[in-house]
Amino acid sequence: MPNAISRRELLASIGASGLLLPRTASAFTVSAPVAPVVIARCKTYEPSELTPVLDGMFDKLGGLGKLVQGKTVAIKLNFNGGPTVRLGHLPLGDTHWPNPNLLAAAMHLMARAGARRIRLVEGAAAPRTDPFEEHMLDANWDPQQFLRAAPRVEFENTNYTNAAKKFTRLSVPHGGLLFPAYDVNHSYADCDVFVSIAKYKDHPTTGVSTVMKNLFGLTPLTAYGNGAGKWEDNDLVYGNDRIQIMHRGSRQPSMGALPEIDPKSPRDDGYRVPRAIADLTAARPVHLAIMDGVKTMAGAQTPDPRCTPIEPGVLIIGTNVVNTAAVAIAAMNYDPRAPKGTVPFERCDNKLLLAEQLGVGSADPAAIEVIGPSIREVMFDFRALREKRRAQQGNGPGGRGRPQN
Amino acid sequence: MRWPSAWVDPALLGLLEGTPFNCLAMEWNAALAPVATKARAAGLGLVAIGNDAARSAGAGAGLAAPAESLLLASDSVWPGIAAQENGAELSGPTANPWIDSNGWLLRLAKARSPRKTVWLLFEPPAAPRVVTLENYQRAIADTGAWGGRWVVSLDSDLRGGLARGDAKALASWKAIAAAVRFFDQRRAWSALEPLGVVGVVSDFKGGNEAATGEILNLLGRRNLAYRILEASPTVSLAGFRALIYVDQGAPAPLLRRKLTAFAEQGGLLMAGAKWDRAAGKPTGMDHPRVDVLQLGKGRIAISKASEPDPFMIARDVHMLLGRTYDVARFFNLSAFLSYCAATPDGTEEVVQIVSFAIRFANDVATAWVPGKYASARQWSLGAEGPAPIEMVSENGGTSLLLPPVPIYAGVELFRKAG
Repeated sequence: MPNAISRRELLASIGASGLLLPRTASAFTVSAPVAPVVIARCKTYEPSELTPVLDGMFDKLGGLGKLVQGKTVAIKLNFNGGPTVRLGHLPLGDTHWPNPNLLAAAMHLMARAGARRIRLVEGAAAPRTDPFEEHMLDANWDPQQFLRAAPRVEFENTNYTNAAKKFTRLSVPHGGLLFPAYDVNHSYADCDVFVSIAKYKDHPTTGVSTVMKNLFGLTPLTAYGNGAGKWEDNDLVYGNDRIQIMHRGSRQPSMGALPEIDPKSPRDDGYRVPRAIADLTAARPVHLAIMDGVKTMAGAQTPDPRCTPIEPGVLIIGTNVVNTAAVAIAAMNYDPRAPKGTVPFERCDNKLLLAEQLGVGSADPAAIEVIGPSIREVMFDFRALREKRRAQQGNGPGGRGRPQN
Repeated sequence: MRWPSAWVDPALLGLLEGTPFNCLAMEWNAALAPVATKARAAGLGLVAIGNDAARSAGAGAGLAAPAESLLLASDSVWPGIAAQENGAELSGPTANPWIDSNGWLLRLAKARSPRKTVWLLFEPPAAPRVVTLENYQRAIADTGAWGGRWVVSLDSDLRGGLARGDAKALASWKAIAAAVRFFDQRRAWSALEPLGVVGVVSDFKGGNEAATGEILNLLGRRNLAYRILEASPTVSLAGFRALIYVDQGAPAPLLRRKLTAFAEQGGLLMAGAKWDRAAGKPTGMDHPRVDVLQLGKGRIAISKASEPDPFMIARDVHMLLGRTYDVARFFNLSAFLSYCAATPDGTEEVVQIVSFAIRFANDVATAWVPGKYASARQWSLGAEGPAPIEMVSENGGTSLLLPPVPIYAGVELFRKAG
């Protein structure tokens, strides 16, 4: 059958043509599951407010115990940008990193629910011999806060192979959209429960950054970063982003990671990065997604002069990462099903719909049970801020701002 | 200031009126005689500089020899982000821009000769590099922040502009004089005691001079506060958490016992490759550059290389000790150096920042310090007076909310209400 086309090739070609992303699941998609998403108001990061609110949210989700009791939990942080870059004077946890008090509260509740071990994981742009805790201290976080939150806490910089001595290969079910598999630190495989915690905010490359975009950071810089192939031996840092390999596709990964499926596919980050994120959500299922919208920022993923600090005063959690991201994006006054070329996906494919097609979860808020205040009640108008930025600068997310990792 | 050799017109001495410049360093030639005569009459000091012949000629004309306090530092540099010959920025091994600074040199000179005033003789880069007013202010700050003084030397453009009476050149000259005056008026800051729990122990001589100097330079580039300790059996190690001793050859027995005792009592000692490994127990730590041994309550990290890389020593001691002991942390400052010092009783501290580049215009900065303070104020070059600093409690310490720091900030911290 010389004219035969695989399902993967068909998906890729449809996506490249802009025809992808129907409003309802197509014949090519796998059934997209739905699970409840819990919304709660939370005005501050004071533990006296935060912990009971989060505790109540977990209860509404069915209880933490059945998820974490006796389990090893890996929590993927969302440390984008350098640890010493702030939006104005604001601590990173008030703008673009998840707040440390929220993280500690979640860890405390997990420990109380019987979690056996909690491992904080992130690909920190730091040399191999720098303890991950030192990266936190550089940001003026106190690692002791997390060590006190649960009895057995570990830290792992997932840019390196560390004790495992090699990366673990996560294959993408149904073949993958960009790569057939991704080589990652063992902690992403050696866990019973995988948690993604992140702020919701704008993103120049993929429109929005949420618990889904956080998974882009699973890819170790030693294999997928600009310095891939130079790191492991010399113990130095060469850049902290994945622009060359993941965004632009100007070279293939290092350290034995598999090359991409189609080297002739578009070398456009608006095509590539959403597909990598969708792949990773399928390859490494998230058991618990925690969206930090108490305080965050609009305008970009990492601070720059376009950004505005904001305080939506909201937490959103769910057990399905796409469902949770869809609800959060709707709460940003964006359409999580918007096609490429429209707000907030002006110049990129919609990663939620791509993940939906891979069967990870539904991106349709109307299909998702929301527990707590309605989306409308907690909505913060990122869209209006976006339009205001565009009017002022002509270069907000959706324009051709600097690529952000 | 270094009087330009081509300025043979005594009328140009008028530029010095109202400035803090009270001494002219001259590379003597006979055409300068009228200038020298008028300068003497005005009460200005005259010092001969240059090569042997020039200094000899100057002495013959009555110019003084450089005072004992004058440091003719051949290795002082024009401060700034290092540039390659093609003008591109030079990067360090972490891809951060490499900063040329005299901070470490001044710290070392002051530690070795605490009662002397340290003067630096460095000159602006030649054309085609353009030297801006900001470059001059940074050069003055990079000297003044560490208690040194620069024999101000002007580039050819500014010399020409001033000689012509050009308005822009005159404005720059006033700003340069103001910057010099600023640090003259804050000489008391250089008497404060440097903060930091990392000590660099060395004789700083001979074969050790270059390596230990570079360690000081690179500790500073990490903004890891350090103190300098002469390799002497009487040296006090109180208050230190980590020591670096990588001098060639074995230390004197008394010093060795003292350094060993420091580690046994809970300190971290980073030592050269020849240090006796038998004294400690392996920790099992897998480290590419040092063997980390347990020694009593503390640790000793012995270099695997006979000539360890100063960049890596600075980094490794920081990471083995941990940022818990940082005396300050800084945010939104991309290429900068800092110096933290305090009064002996700790009631007042000064945090000085010399900035060599900023990310964005109007990018405000934050400095975090671990203590609690009653008030803080900031001094900037060109400002009329100090500005109050807003303080916010963060992570058990205090965040100082600073305006953008394009060149220099000097922050005074007071523990008690004034």
